[in-house]
Amino acid sequence: MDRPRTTRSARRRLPALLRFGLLGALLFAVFGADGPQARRVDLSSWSDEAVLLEAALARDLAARDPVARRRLVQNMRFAGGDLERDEAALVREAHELGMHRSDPVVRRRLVQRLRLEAAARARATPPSEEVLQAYLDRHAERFTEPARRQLLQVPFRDEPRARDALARLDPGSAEPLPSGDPLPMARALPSSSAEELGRQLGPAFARRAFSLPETRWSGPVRSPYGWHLVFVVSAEPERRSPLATVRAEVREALLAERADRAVAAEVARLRREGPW
Amino acid sequence: MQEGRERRSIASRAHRIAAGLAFVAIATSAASGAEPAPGPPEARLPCAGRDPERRPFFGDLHVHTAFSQDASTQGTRTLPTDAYRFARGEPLGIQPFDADGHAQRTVRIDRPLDFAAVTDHAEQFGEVRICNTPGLAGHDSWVCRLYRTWPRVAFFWMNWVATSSETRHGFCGEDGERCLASAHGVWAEIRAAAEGAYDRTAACRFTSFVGYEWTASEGVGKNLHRNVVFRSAAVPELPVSVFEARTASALWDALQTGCVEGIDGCDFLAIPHNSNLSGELMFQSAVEVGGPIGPEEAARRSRFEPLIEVMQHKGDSECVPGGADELCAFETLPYDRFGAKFAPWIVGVKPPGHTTTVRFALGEGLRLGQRLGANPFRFGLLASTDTHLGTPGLTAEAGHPGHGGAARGAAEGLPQGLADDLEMSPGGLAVVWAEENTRASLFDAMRRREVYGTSGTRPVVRFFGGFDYDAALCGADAASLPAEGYANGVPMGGQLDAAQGRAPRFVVSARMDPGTDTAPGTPLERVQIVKGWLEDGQVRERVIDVAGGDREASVDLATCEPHGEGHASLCTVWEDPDFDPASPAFWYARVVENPTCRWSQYACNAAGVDCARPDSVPEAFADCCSESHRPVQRERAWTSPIWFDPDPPGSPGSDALTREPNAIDLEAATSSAAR
Repeated sequence: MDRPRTTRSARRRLPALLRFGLLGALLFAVFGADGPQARRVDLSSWSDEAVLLEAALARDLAARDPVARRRLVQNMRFAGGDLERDEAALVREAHELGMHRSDPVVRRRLVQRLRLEAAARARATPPSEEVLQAYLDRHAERFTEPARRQLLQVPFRDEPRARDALARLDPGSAEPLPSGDPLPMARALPSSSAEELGRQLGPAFARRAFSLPETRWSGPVRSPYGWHLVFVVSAEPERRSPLATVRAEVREALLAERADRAVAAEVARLRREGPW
Repeated sequence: MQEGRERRSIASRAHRIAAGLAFVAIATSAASGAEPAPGPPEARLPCAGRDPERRPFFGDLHVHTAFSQDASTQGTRTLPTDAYRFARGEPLGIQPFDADGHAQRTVRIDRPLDFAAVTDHAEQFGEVRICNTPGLAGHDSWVCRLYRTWPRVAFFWMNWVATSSETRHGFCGEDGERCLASAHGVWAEIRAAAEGAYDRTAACRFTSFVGYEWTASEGVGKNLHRNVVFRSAAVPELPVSVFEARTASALWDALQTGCVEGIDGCDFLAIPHNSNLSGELMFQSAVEVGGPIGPEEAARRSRFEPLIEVMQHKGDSECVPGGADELCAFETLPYDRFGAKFAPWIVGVKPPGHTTTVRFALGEGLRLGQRLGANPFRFGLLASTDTHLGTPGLTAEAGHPGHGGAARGAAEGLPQGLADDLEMSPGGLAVVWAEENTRASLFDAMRRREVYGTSGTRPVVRFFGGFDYDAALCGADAASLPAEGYANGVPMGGQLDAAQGRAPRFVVSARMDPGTDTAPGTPLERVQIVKGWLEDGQVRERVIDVAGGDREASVDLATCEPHGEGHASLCTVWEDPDFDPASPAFWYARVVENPTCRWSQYACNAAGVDCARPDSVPEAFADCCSESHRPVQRERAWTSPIWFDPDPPGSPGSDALTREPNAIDLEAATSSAAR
């Protein structure tokens, strides 16, 4: 459901009490005139925020939550309300003006409170080792060390010379290294992931180098610096990290996921059952 | 009279140091007693891709998020966790946001960074938190109301108080108690974000540093800012801000006590930046403005401030145009102090002079080093963005969205016309030569100054100096350059000690940025060596083209398509023909790319601006056709210098306190090459 909008300049022009009154009337027209039955019908089109806000209001949190309550009281006093009146009266008056729905700070606070409550319930139970292991197994790709390759590379400024050199090589022997053209770059590259290699020699070179056969000369492979003959010395496949290594990351990811699911479940429950 | 001034200076310093120490004693409550408090463990797996000959790691050490007061008043909502995700390659929504909180712009870097540090302004952590959090005491103070109602007005007012007052805002309570209490939460989130982003697995994909910005200024906006970067997760309970340490010297002292001596495993670097906005104060005494730099300060400064940010969003600080070095006409701001941007009618506007530049500091360092026995300005060079959108590494010229901060914001909507003030730029990157991508390895490399800066692109540059290099090192044996470089000399950031009757040789190799599939790198134009030396007590400087040269490459301004040839790589061994073994000197390499369009030209083209038809140019894009618009630039890299000191280590007057090891484990390097 769209929230009522007023422009900042309009807000500045209107006296505060009149503004709150108009907003309240508008919100009453939107939320109140059709009655509870009509709201339930439209629930599926509401945003999560609107659902959570309605749920919070149904629990009277605008009056009971200390932050929201204090904000409403301050608004009323700021708007010129009777400073001598007690807080409960000011809160009631704020409600009558619709301020509990229109004030962005109160709205944000109430929505956040319901989210945090749901998330905290989900995080309260620490996951066991078995649960952590199962989570790691299910999300292996997130905790996987990338494939790595260790290469020898010999650069040439042009492709024909690279092909000539390749034709003269013993394809299965890394030694002796053929002499290429001078490029200030190590011939023996340390073990690198495709991403690391791409940053050195460009992503196209990296993709090609990770498709080449092991322990034989291949190429030439193009890079921004020329043409390279490549010998794949060793190739390590992707490797899943053991739980002992990534326990903290797995635990946090699991709890964050639980919290997100709990918030979504709470919103779904509210849509289904509704507190109103 | 002089004696009296010195006494006052000492008394003043003692007072400030005592204030700093008192704060840190509180901030590091666990650090009381003679023994350092135990820090958190830095347990991690060794990196699978460790390279004894070192790799270049690209990063950004100057990043602001919504925790910075200025960024928050511009509608930045990026939190430190978001900033680190962005640095690792994830997309990020940035302001303006619509009424439902949806970002109207999305940005992403085409290659992840290797490392980053979120460096929010420490001065107003708690203030911003209080003003943004209903229910906290002080939230409804008039300052916070101002902050929420007119954020840009609050930006000036709150910063004015933070930088000019000895005390915090009234809403911070007695002795700033409330704001310090809130700052604890902010600092904890910054630390947690860094911890969460740090890859402790063997993949070593990303390193985060805990850091912050110490935001001091003098007068009307003469900035003396430093970024503080910690070596590990062992950091003080709260950062030392300007409120606790009014001078850089007090900052070092407070961190020495509260971090280095106070917490096991804690160490730090302070990185000055924007000397171009310091109103000529950056390279004066850090103990007392206008006072002399003494031997003790010189040694401490070199120890605590081994690096300087030579370029960033708010301009280049290397050198200024007007001299023989034509390439100094690069990202030069039109004013020399921050205050001149906002209050030119008060402070007047004049362009940065030579004494605001890093080039000046390097030369002045030679002069002071000879006189004091320690060079206070032995700076390694790096660059960063200073983004205030929480977007580390967002340095692409095409589509540059601005970086906010002191420049154009977008809190209320997309800016009309250019996305940023014309004089600003996307900023640069820091590059660190280290064995592996870990905090310890990167920090140690920064400590020994084996770093360089770029204006945003990613060329790979090595620079070695020594007396025994083969003149043919860039020839058939170029592949052995790193091993030879370390074996027979020192890398960038190092120091040559013994002339042995010979002139030093410098090996510089540069490879163009390999680019990406969608944004290929730009070929190199030339490599230069910038030399500074003392002659009869006067600083001299010279810029020499040592490889490549102008091939008349150009760029089509209408399309930003590059034309002409360049170099995929350049390598040379250069011997200094004018070397004087009795004179201290420095040399650094500057690698220059072929011309490309500046960010503003991309934006002008995207808007269809045709300066040949002035009547057709929308008013919002008038800057495109102004005399101050520089549509073309040459991206570049600056290496850290290599210094020569005629006084051998340990001799009277030598710079021994500032020396750092720069040799690598050659046995390990050899075995690596053999693998």
